[in-house]
Amino acid sequence: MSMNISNSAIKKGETLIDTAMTLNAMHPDIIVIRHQDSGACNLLSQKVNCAVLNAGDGRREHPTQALLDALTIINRKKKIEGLKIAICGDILHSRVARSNIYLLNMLGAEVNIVAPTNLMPKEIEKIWCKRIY
Amino acid sequence: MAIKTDKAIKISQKHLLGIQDLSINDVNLILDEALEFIKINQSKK
Repeated sequence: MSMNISNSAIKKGETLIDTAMTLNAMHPDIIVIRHQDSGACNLLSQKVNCAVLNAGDGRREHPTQALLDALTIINRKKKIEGLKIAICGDILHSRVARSNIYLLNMLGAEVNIVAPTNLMPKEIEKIWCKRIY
Repeated sequence: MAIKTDKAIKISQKHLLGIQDLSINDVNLILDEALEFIKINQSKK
């Protein structure tokens, strides 16, 4: 079942928790959620019994896209460990970039971030990667 | 109604909310399984 926010009761004032409880009553196996607010997936996961997959929440994370990106790199390069990878552009507002940085680091790549100062997150050096302006 | 108990893959977390929640074993398991699914999908063409 696919649910678009423009057709849902959220437009009539229903909260995300109300929606979560309604969905939970249908006993789904999995809920895949894409939401504009960071943390929406975490909130939903605390209210339902089934597994929740984050398909992008606000500026926080987009783990499914990062896993697909890693798979594409493996298909093309046969490995990720030891690769030098540059992520360029608007890193500050990119949840995909953030998830990619976490995942590619975990898999042993050297991650370089290329962005103008105003599009570079201040906390970027806390997650292990090199910054290039 | 049939009750399904088998999972395609078993990772340490119930939810997939962020990469930071996953272990390296979880990630490798997901990626290996994905590669297997690609092979199965391509073999049916």
